[in-house]
Amino acid sequence: MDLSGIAGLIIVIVFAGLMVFFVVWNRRFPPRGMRPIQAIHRLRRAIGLAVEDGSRLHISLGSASLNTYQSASALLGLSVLGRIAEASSISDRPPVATSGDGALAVLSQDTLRSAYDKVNALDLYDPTRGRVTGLTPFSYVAGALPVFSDEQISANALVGNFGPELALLLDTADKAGAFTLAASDSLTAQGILFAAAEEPLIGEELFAISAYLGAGAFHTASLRVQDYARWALIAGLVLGSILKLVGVL
Amino acid sequence: MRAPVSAAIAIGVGLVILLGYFIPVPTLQNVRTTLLDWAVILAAVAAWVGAANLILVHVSRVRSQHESAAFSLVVIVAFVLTVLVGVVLTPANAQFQHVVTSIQMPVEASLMAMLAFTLVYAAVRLLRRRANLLSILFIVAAVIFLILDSGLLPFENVPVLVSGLVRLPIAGSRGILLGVALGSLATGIRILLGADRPYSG
Amino acid sequence: MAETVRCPMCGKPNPAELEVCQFCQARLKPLIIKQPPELEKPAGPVEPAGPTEANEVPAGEGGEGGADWLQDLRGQNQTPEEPAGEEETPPKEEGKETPDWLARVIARKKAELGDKPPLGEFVIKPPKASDEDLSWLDSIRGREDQGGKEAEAPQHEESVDEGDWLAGLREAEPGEQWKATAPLHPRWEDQPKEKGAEEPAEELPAQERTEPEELPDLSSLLAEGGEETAGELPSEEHAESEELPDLSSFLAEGTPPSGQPEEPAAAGLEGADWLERIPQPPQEKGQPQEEEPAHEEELPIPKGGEVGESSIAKVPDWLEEVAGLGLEGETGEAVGEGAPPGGEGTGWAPDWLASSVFSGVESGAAETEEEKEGGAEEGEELPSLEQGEIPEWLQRVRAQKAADMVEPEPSPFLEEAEITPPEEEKIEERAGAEVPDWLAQVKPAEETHEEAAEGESPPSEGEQEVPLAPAELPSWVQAMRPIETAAPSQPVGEEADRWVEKAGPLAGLQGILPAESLGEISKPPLFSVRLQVSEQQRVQASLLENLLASEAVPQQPRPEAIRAVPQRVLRAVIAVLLLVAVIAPVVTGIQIAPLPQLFPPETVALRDMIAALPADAPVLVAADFQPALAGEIRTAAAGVLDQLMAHGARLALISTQPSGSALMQAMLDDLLNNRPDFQALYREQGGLVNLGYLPGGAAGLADFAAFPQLAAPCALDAVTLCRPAWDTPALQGVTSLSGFSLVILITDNSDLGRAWIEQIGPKLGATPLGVIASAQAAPLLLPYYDSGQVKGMVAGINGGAAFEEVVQVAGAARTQWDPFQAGLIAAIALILIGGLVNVILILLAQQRAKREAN
Repeated sequence: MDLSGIAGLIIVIVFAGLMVFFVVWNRRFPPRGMRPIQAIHRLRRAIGLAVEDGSRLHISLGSASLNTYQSASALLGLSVLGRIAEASSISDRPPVATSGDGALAVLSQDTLRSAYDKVNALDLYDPTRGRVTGLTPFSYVAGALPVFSDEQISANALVGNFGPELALLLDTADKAGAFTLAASDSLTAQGILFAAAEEPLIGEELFAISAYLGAGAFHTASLRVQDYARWALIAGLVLGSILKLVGVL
Repeated sequence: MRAPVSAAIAIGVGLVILLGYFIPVPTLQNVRTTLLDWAVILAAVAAWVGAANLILVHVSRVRSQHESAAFSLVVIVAFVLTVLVGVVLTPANAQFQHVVTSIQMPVEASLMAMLAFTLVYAAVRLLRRRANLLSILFIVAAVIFLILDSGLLPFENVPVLVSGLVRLPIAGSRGILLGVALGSLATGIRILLGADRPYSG
Repeated sequence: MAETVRCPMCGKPNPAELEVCQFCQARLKPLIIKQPPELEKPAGPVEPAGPTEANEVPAGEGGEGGADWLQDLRGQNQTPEEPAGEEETPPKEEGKETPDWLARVIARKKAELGDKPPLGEFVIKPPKASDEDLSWLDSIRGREDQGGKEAEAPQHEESVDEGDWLAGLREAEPGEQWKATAPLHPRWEDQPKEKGAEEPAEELPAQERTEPEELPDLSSLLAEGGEETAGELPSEEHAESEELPDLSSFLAEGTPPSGQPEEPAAAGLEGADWLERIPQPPQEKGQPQEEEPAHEEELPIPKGGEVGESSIAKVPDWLEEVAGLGLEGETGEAVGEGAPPGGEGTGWAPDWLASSVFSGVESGAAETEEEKEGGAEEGEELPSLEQGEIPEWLQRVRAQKAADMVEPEPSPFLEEAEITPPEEEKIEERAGAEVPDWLAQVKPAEETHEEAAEGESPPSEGEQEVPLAPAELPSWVQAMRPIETAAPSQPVGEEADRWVEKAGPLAGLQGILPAESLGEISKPPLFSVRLQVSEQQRVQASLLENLLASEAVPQQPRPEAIRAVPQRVLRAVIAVLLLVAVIAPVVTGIQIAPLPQLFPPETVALRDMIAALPADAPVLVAADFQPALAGEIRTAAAGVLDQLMAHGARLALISTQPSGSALMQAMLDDLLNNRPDFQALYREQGGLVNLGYLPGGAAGLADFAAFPQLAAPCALDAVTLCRPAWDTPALQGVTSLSGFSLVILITDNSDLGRAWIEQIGPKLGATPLGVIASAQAAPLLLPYYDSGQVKGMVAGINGGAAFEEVVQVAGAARTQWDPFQAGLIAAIALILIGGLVNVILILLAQQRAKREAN
């Protein structure tokens, strides 16, 4: 077991321990609050408006596979899908989730089912609401474009791993006048969604969506741990740069 | 499967894979390798599940006589044909590969080409959508790097400048990547702890 | 259910058989006392009789009750000459005051010989008379029986009857001043004198001879009043008494002792026939009758407490004579001539009158039929007064009282202290009978009466430390009398008691709970049964109604007309410009930009790596790119692949994308078609093997890195689905990744590139890794080059063009360089121009907003 392995294991254990600790800590001492993110606030409003006017919500999970590095964004997309499904369960038009991977589509169906089960509206569950529109990114986008026109989408939440094909989805949503919130772990997609999306989320704001939507105490605690870890990384980078500069390293 | 059982399986397997990556124990690594092989097989099967889901959606559209049912019919027919031809000719068949690539490549390439127009249009309307300093910086940076990549500056000292400028966004992207990595780590740990269970059903 | 009677006072139901209310002790059955209203209200304060609550007479019948004793007198003294009228019998039959009490009174008076003070508060100074002669009362009664038929005979008739005997009394003792039982009203003299008055006046002398004998009480009353007040008469009253115009003139009119023609009697003289029967005493010498009319104006009204002193005038001689005659009639003694009535200044009223009055007050409540009978017997001697008839003088007095309501009138009667009620008789006994109010309110002074009965001299004025309280009616009686006839002697209680009902059935009554007049009754608020809806509620209800109505109406989607047109135009313009920019160089062949002369180091490094390859070296080519970027990848990788094939390297293709290997195969076929010299090696000699699709993503890469033969055992073969790849000539001698001489990664995705680099890098060992990346992935993979993990890199079309320049090979990059540059320039221009236009528009909008704000 080399040093990198040990370090990695320690980091994982510490991260998990801090997460559990802050879950308990936040119960005793509730946090003052999280910094406001305008995009998520507008997403909430858009969800409410969609429920009120009877339009549909579209959640795009991307084309990332669960056995890749981009699976984290895909899993986060599933968490967001679950929260939105619960919030819009009373809507006349249930939300639709599109993905570019088979396993992701199966999980999206499972997430929708559990959301309706929570609100005791299992009869409203439709398996076709979680669908694969293409097995490649551009085919996935090509298959997702008709959803905007056919399903009367009023709000889009593009949360997952996207490539440059995201621009096509954003442009179509802009043509339809639908609200769009886009978040991706891909840098290429972030550059595109910054220019084309109505409400872009850059960087790790993708991983804060679930916490802002009230997914649970663990989401809030993990957000807090990420903040502390980021500061630790910043400190390490600065220190390492100084040491490198000095010649120690 | 009941939620506690599925959660237990997911958490157990995840811990094994994680520990097997960091702890070089032969038994643990053998188990990890086996589990990864199972994951690979499941991913391949999941691809078939996705394809089946795609066909079912389009079939439902055709049945409901949706306004875009014709396109759904084309999708269904093409899928069926491709499967049949692939099974018959095998994926190694050069002809089959030629047909697939002759259709798939132009279509996706066309979609890619549309990105050019879309991105230019988006860049042009960026200030109309979001008139702030970041938008201005974005546009300026985009123009600079377009110029740099265009090769319109064949100056002798440009490579130094170019190499410096080219590496400038890398520094920013490194920070984003670090944050994304932390978020991915947190997401994975939540799943390992059972706090996030997208598989619960 | 037994009949119930509601109490007139408290309004509570009572059994019908009760005579008094069981809650407030008020009379339920009114006393039918036919007495003129003048007699209801005594001159002075009337003290409520203690044990005589039963004696309370209803107000409506107070007038009648006041004349009850007179009615009794009339009824008892009926003579055959004067057959009793109908009015007489009813009182007797009704069980009202009978002469029994009167008889007892008379008897007592006889025994007392005028020493008994008058009862109660009545300021009646009976003339000093030892005997009570009721004969004149009998005659009066007889007359009244004849004259009156109804109990409610006109008061003027009664007054005429009463006035007759009084006239006779007055004439008998012209010198005596006396006052009527009721306050004399000066106006009564103004009343038209009726003819009927003549008769009584004419008959008076005869009656007067007899009646005075029958009126012992009056004489006692007069005596008492005279005893008490004789010495206290002020000069004024003396003068007034001399002047007694009302009574004297009245009496003079009725009885012309001096021969004067009898003037038509006043209204009050009507029915005063009985007065004519009264023997007119000889006029007092020296007392002109002319003086009498003047008395009416100056006749003082006795006030409370001063009755005994100021109000009582000298009893006229005739009355004294009457009183004396009355006393003679019983006792045989004559009343002292000239002596004031009532003897020793006891008062002007004869004893019989006084005693009868006071005894009636005392015993009225407990009167029984026997007493009535006895009284009737004794009352035979009393002047016969018709039932309900009230002496005219009394009526006039009452009328005057009524006119002077504000100013309390002095009671003509003695104060309470001067009056001693008879022993036997109690006023309560006569409560249910015809007891006048002023009699009913007399407070029995039993102690003083007993003392008087024992022979003690009646308290004189000097002995009485506390003057008799003037006769007072109880407040409720005072309040109940009609306003026009009642003259309150004093303020009745508090201000609330002065309340006079002005509306409703109880109009004119006092002391009752003020009822709301119909005019003052405010209309009760009407509460509409309709739902009260405010304006805001109405607006909200209409809004809700509109919302509900709009639910049924399908709403059309909002058209984006304004926004769609500019967007479409802009899109079209951008598309046209870009197309023109890209197509024009191709069509025209214009070179927009020269090929790059400066080569990136990573590109040069990759060229060096390939150049360093030995001949027939195994090279692994990983093709992880999408079909969408296949064009760019082909442009970037064409030079590298050409160089590899030129060096005779054995190529093994693998991809983690389903279509990657196929795309790579197709790329190589295109290259081989253009380079026939390479076809023999790679198509015939097996220098190319396609390992196909590597599943599992990063995990698959990890497996492949560790165990490549196990991870990718099969090579794509059209004939057989799985041909052992590691036995082919292309992979001969290769058992691991480190057995490859070079690994080239072709990717369009930085993540995939990272995965390859991170997974297989540690397993490569000394084998270099080169990367061919698209322009979008190159910046992110460049750090790997900087870190040494990647030995060389070609990035996009620029890198491909540079590589071709470096190796001096004409490839696709050179062909696509000019359109590529033109497109970039067009895009740069469009972005700059669009951004500039937007900035200008924003500034203009801000300026416009500022102008509008200003």
